[in-house]
Amino acid sequence: MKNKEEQHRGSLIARAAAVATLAASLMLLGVCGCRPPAVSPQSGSPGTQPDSSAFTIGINQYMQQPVLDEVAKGVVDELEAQNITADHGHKIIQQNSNGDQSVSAQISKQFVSQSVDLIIALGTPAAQSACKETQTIPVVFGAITDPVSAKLAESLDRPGGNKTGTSNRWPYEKQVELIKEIVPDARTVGIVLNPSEANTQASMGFIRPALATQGLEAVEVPVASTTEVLNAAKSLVGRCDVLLIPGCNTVVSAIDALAKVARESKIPLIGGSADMIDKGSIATYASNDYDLGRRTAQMALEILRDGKEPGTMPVAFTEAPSLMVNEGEAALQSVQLPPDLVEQAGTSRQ
Amino acid sequence: MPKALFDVVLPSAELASVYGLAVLAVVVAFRISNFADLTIDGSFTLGGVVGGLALVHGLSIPQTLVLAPLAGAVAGACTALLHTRIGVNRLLAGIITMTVLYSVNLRLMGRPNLSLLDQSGAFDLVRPGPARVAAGVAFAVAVGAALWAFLRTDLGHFMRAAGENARVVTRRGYPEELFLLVSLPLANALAALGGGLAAQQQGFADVGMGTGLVIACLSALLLGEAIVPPRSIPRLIAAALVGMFTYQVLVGIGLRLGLNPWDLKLATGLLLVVTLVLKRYLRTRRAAANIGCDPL
Repeated sequence: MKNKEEQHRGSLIARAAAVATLAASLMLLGVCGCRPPAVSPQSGSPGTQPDSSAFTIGINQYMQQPVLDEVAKGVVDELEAQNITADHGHKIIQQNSNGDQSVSAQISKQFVSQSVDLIIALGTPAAQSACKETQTIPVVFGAITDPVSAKLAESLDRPGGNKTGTSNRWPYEKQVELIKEIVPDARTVGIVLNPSEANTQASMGFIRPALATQGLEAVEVPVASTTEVLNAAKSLVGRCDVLLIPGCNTVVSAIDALAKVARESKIPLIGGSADMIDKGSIATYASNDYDLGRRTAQMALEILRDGKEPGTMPVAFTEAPSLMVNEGEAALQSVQLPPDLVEQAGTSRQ
Repeated sequence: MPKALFDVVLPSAELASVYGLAVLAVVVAFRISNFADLTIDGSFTLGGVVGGLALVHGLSIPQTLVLAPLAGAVAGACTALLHTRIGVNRLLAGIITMTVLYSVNLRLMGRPNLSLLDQSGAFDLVRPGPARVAAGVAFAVAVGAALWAFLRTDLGHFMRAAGENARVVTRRGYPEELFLLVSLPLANALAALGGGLAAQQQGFADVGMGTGLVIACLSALLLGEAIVPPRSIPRLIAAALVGMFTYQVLVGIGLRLGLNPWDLKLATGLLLVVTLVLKRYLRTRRAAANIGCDPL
C-alpha cells in the first residue's frame, strides 16, 4: 500500500516537473514575446512617409549551405544598405530550419501567425511551405533553381498570386562551352550528382542538352550524401576527360572531395558557382549568389515600399554571368588555360 | 494570454496533429510490439508521395487518405516478412525496407520534390486559423481513439501480449512473431497517414520529408511520457500526442527566442537527457510502471 502511494507520488513529481518546465518556457516566451521592440516605430506620427513605416520581414532559410548562405548574406546586407534595420524601427526575423521539413513548416506558420509584412524564403521546401501557408502575405523566394516546376511561379514572366523571387540557375550552357575551350579534345564529361535533389534534376535538364549540343558524352555517378562524393569522383578516374560541377547541394557541399580527385588524377574540374573558383574549379561562368540575394531583397522592398504586385514581377536571374578562372588551381590539375580565356576573365586567381 | 503564446501554440498544435500520427506509429512498433522499426522514416515519406500523387491524379481527399496508409501497410508488411520469414534481424529489416523505400519514393514521383501548391488538400477543407487547428487535433484524437478501440479487441490483446510476454501467445499455439504481421503494417499505415497529411498540409511531398523522423518521434514520446505517465493504453496514446505537441512547442520557443539553429539539435538532445535522468531517478522510487518492455 505504502509502495503504491510512493509510486503515485513519484509520478506526480515527474509530471509536475515536466509541466513546470513547459510552463516556465512558455512564460519565458510570453515575457520575451511581449517586450516591445528596442526602438519603437514612430508609426502614425505626422509627416511619416509610406516608405518609412515599420516593416516586419521574415526570412526562412531552409538549410546552412554555401549557396543559400551567400544569398541570405546578400539579402541581409541589401536590407541594411536600404536602412531596413532594427535601428530604424523595422524588424527582421531570420530563421533557419537546418534542413528539417517540420521546422521549416513551423517557421512559415509562425511568420503567418505573427502577421509579418513579407516573407523571404530561401530554398525550395521553405518557399513551398511559405506559399502553402499564405495567399495574402507577399512571398519573395530566393535561390530557386526551377520555380516553375516547383509550382512557385505560374511562369517566369508572371509568377501570379502573392509570390515572386529570384532564380539562381547557373549559366550551364556557357559553362559547358568552357569545356571545349579548355580541353578541345574532350569527349566524356564526368558528373557526380545527388538525384534526389530537385535542383539537381533541374540543372541536369539544362546540362544534358548542352553537352549533347557540344558533342560531349555525360558519365553520371549518383550519390546519396556528401560522404559518398569522394568515392564517386574516384570511380570516374579513367572514365572521363573533364569533371563538371552540377547545381547540386550535396556535391557543392563536398566540393573539396572533387577538387582532391581532380588534383590527384589531373582531370580538370570546371563549372560551379562563383565561390567554387576558390575551392577547386579552374574556370566557370558564374551567377553571383550574393548579388542575387541583394536583388531578392530589392524585390521585397519594391513590394513593400512601392506597392508593386508580386504576382506581376518577373522572376529575376543573375545579370550577365561573369567568366572566372583560377590559374593556380589549373596548374595543380596540370591544365594549361588558353591565354585569351585568362585575358577575358573578369576574375582571375593565381 | 499573450499573443506570442498563441503564435507558438497554434502552429505547434497543427503540426503535432500530423506528426503525432507518426508518434502513434512509433508507439505501436516500439512500445507495444517491442520492435525498433526504422521503416517508419520511409513509410512516412511514402504516405506523402502516394497521397500527393493520388491528389495530382484527381482522386478525392478521402481516397488519398486511404491509399496513403495502404501503401504504408505494405511497407510495414515487407519489414515484418523480412524478419519473420527470412529471419533478418529486427533493426536490419527496418533499415532494409527504409533504404529501398528511398528509391521507391523517387521512382514513384519521378523527381525528388512533388509540389502540391496548386492542389487543394485535406487542410484546405477548413478555414485557416484556430478552426483548422481544432479540426486537425480532432482528427488526430479520433485516430488515437480508433487505435485504442483496436487494441481492446481480441486481436489487439494478442498483439500486445506478443510484444510484452511472448509466452502468453505461444502457449495458446500461435507462433511468437505472427502478430508482427499485424502490428508493423498498422504502425506503418499510421506513419503513412501522417505523411499523407503532412504533404497536404505543407504543399509538397519531398523525398527527404521523413528523414530522422523516428528519432524526433522517440524524443517526443519521451517528453510525452514524462508529462502523462503511461500506465494504461489510453494514457500511452495521449502521451504520444501530447509529447509531439510539447516537442513542437519547444522547437517553436527555440525559434522565437532566436536560438541559433545550429544549437537546436543540441538543445533537443540535452532536453532528452534531462528527461531520461529525471525518469531514472524517479524509477528508483517506484516499481516500473511502463507499458511495454524496452525502456527506450
